[in-house]
Amino acid sequence: MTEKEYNICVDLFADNVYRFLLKHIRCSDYAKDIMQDSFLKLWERREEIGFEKSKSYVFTIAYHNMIDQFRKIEISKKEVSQDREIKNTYSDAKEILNSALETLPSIQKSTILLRDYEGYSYAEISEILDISLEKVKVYIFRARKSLKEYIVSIDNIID
Amino acid sequence: MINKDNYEAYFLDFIEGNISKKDREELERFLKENPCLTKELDSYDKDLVLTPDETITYNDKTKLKKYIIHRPNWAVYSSVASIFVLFIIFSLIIHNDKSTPTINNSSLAQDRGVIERVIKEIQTIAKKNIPEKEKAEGMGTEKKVNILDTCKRDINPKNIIINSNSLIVYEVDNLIEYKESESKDIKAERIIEVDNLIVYKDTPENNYNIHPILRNKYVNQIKNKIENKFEKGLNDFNNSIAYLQENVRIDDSGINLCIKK
Repeated sequence: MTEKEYNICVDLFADNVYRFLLKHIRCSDYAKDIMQDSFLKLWERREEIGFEKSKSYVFTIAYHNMIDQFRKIEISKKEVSQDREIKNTYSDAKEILNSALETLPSIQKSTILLRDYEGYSYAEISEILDISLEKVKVYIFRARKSLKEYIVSIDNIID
Repeated sequence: MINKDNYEAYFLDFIEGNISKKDREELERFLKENPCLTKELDSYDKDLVLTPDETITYNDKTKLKKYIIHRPNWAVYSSVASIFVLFIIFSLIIHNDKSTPTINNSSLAQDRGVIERVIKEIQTIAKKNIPEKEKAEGMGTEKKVNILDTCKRDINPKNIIINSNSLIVYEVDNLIEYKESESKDIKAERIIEVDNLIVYKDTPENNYNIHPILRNKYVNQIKNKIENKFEKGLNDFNNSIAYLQENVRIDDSGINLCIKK
């Protein structure tokens, strides 16, 4: 990948990676740190990585950096515990769905975000998250099931 | 083998219609053994899809971008200067030979000694001027060859790579240009590939436009045509493309072309 192609990658994928990270850690400073580090690694390895593989590569790096951050500072637990407080007012279905997403375990959230936001195949998700294809399918199924259950429960509260 | 830890993967394949006959039979057997899970399968909502929030954007993209600073190659300048100095010295010697035909062998030997010393000194200066990094990577020698190529091209700016009744590919000012036939004006076919970008001109009057995304489309068009018709010219074309990628770049404005230093 050339210098120009790298800079095109930044233009094309930075928003997507940032959204993915923010959905997990909900702290823009941490997300920006991980962004800088992930794209720096892509730059350092640009000679080995083709343009067509760059998006998957930067997602892989960002995901693993995020997991490392979780382990170091345990922000995941704090943030999730804050956001798990169920609200009783919602403006629309999208907000309910976003709220439901916050209740998912990190790995399920990653699989469903990569599938729905980025349109990756199950095999590509397996490669990015470094888990088996079977596990990816299991997590996707469980995530959608949990989202559905959450929405039904909110409907019951509102009713 | 289906079990309580992985049955959801079979459910997903079944719902999405990607299950094999063997796996389907296995799933049916599993559900007979665990009828309570049938409800879980039935309640799955495959249409429950998340959509990204497009309002969330990363605003510091410029901080992520990188630019390589192309430093001047002092080794090349030194080499060119040394060639120039040598040329002057040899001109003086030839001039002296003509004006003093009776010069003896000992003074000739003396002159040669002086020239050799001058050459050594110039070479030493040139070596000192090569940046340490370039010395390690052997870049000094490589750049020297390219500059010589550039000189040749400046002397002969219109270098036709391929010419026939239906296709002309030629080089002007270190750029590749291309058109369908001699009689046609150069319009949209005026295509240049530089440093992985496509640069093209809609009309001769317009400025060059740059389209990084269109690169494969146009380059493949040209290559396919050449491969089909002119096997002999293909290497020349590929060499020229390689030459451009190595020696020409888009300048800091992001619009104009310039020679890499």
